[in-house]
Amino acid sequence: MTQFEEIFSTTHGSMHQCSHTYRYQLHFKGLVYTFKVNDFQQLKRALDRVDVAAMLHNPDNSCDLEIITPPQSDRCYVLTLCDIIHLKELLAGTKVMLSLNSILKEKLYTAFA
Amino acid sequence: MKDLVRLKTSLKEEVEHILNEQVKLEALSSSRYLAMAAWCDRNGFDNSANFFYEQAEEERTHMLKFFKYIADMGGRAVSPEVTNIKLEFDSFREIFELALEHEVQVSQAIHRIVDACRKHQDYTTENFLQWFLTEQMEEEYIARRALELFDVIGEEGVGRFMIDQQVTKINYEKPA
Repeated sequence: MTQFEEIFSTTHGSMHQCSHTYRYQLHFKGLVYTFKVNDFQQLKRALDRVDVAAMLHNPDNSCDLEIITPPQSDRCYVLTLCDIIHLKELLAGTKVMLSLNSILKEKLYTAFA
Repeated sequence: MKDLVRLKTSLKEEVEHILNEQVKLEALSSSRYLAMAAWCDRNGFDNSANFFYEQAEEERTHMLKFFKYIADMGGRAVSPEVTNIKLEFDSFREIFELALEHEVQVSQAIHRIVDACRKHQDYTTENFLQWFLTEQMEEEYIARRALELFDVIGEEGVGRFMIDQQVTKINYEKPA
């Protein structure tokens, strides 16, 4: 049974988790991308490597877009500067919520073990 | 909600990253020693060449230990890219100076990982690193003693030949 719970959302997208299949699901720009736990870090790193400041300062048209290919996916995201900022915000928020969940789990386990 | 990250890996992201950096540094060490071995071979320092071939092999073993550990802990071990290896050296002595500097660099890098482990309360990785801390004592000792041969024997006359003879005889006796 696949049941996704929301981890974090912004006005531009959301991230969900399925505890049965051990998958995350990203909803962004009308696309739904389901991926494994360890691919989250890789996706976040790929996005973190995008230098927003350099894109802003470069007048070349080719620097207005960035193509991100999510791990183990046959699709790619063609992202504008705004998309990148929104997706970075979404992934950063997700990471914080995952860390918070991890801390809560550990504390609860310690308290009731 | 299940903690999927923790279920998948026992390494914190920051610790995994710094361990992968160490994989890269060990691979770099191996390549540097290989370049030193090749220079010694080209210049007739047979024993030193063998010494550096062995060092190169040892560094590769260290790299694999780190690599395997990351993979065993459920992390993502990254096969490192090694570039810009210095192939030419100004002198026989310079090689040993660089070897010592490099060992110091490796020791400092391992200390930084221990720092990161303590910061993230990753006591398993800290325990894993104990072997490397002891190993670095030996590595630094050997590199330091090898360099000291240049002052003890001197480079004049048959000096460099004698140094080449003595390099492979350096032995570190581990504390009981």
